[in-house]
Amino acid sequence: MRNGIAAIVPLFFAIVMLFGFIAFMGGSSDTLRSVSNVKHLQHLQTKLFQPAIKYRYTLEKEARENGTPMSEDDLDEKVNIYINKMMTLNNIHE
Amino acid sequence: MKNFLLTILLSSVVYAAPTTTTTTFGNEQEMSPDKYGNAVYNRNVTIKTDNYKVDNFWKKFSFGGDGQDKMEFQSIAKTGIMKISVEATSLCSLYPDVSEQGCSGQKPFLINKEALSAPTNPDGTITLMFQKDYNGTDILYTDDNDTVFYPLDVDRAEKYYKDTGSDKSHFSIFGSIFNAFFEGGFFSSFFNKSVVQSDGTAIEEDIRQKYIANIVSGIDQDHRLEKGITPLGTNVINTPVSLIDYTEDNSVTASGSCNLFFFRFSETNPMCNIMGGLPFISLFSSTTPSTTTNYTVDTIQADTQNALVTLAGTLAEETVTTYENSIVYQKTSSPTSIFSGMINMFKCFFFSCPKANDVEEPWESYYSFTEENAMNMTIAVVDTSNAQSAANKVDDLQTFKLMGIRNVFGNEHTCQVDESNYNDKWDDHTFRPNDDTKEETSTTKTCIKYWPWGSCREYEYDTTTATVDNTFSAKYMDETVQSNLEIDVNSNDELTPSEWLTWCDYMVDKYKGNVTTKCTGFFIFRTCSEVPADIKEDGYEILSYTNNTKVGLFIDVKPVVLTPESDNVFLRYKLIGTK
Repeated sequence: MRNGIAAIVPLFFAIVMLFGFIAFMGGSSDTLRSVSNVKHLQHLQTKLFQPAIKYRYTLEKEARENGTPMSEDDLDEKVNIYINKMMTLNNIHE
Repeated sequence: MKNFLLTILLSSVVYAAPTTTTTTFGNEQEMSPDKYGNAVYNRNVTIKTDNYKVDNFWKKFSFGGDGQDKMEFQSIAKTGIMKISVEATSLCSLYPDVSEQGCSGQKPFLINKEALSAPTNPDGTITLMFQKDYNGTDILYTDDNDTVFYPLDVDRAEKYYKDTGSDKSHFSIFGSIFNAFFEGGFFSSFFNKSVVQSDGTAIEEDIRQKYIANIVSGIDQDHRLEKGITPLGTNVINTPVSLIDYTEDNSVTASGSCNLFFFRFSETNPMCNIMGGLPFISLFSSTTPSTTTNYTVDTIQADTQNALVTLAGTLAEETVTTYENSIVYQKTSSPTSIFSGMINMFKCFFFSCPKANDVEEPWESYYSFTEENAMNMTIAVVDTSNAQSAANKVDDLQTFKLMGIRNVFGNEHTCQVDESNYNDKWDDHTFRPNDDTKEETSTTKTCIKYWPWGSCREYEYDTTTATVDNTFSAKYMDETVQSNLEIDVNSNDELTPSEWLTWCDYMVDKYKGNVTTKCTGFFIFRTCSEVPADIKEDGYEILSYTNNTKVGLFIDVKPVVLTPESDNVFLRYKLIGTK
């Protein structure tokens, strides 16, 4: 009997540890998750450098060939719209 | 990692603003050209995402229990340095569907470094002549020629030009643009013609298709020439990478017909008349005329011209109609264009310079482009003054705008006849075409004032000029020969120089087994003709005879440094760093 009660002690200890772990996770896991998401975003940004610049030069070329050259600001704006769409597709924007 | 965590924790701010992303571009920064001769630009791209939100879940279970549903980051930005390689024109700038690996801006041509300092035309271009076999041998290369561009054989491992059955293959595109530019069906007769080396040796490889692909698509990505690295053989032929030469496989036995040309002229075109019916003729070739009437088509020159015209014409959205009707086939007997000086150079090329004045009106076909629609091309440069290189490798690559493609035809037809008959009385004359008439001036005088004693005191002179036939009598010429040749139609035994030339042609052909070869000039200006020995009939002896028709291909190019905004370029992008 005495030995049986003693066996509960590590069990209680384990439960306390579990709650402690959950509480810890509540604080830190989200931080870790955010790190992961931010890294994902930065990876996506890196992936989009090439499409962005290619899109800009292609737009510039098409506009020039059509005889309606676009201003730098117009080009930037079009690229912004394009990259924002990409962000939405990748669930970065809502 | 700790710093990173700290940064994002500090940057997390509770906001409810929507997430937005802004993309900004830095200025283009010109870098040195790469080893393939492409212009290179670096440009920064920054992508900044504001108010980035990350859903939280575990926060609710934290010690405080007051965690947020979302974590927000005010600003997350990254900057990439993009390298932009600007390739001179290739098929890939026209057709995005074809494999990019099969394209580049490099064309299979070689120039000596001296060409870069060649005399420029008033419009800033330099004129380069297409080198081909002279005197019936393979290409002659000289290491300091400043006016010649040489064709190169560059291996491409049989890739990107074979018929794969796909609509998006390079082969298929070649068919489209050749057939669109020339008449339909042209491609099949053009691309599949087999060729031999100039000495008749068979070429196993599909060397011709490879060469055309290297012009139209550009040398493929895997076999591009590299500055200072690619070995180059200027003393061998048809061995990648080396000079290349080939001619049509079969000898053509008929006399000149315009059907032989890859680029087809109308049969009624005066060019055909020049080419047709001449006993000693070398079409597309400057080789010594054969003693038979056989000749071969210098296919590599025709290929070079057709491939360049097709790609450049397609890029410039020109049609072959423009090429045929408006610009080409101008008879430039008295050129007033800026290129008049060039005509003399062409004459020298065709027929040694001292005889240039004997050349009867070279025909020039000319295709010109504007700065905006010109095709760009990067070609190899060899600098033999560089002792280390000594023509063993490609020393540099230079990009040009192709501003003009010109074809020059020249025909030299002369016959020197000595007559020893009693009644003809003109002894010796050199006959030339376009010499059939002459101006004859006659002066009449009338008396306008008289002395009192009746004799004339003052005359008035009246000079009149009339154009009369410039004839030379042929009183002893065989009437049957005259009749067969349809000369002396009015039977007065007076023949014009043209008629004398017809007689010469006939006699030369009759005695063609008995000829000697005479050459004048040197190297590229060297010209050889076969002179009949001892032709004497009816007291008329041919002392010398020339009948040469030659075709030259010239390009006008302008050195250029391309930018990403240039027309007719293909851009390749590469991320070379982030910050």
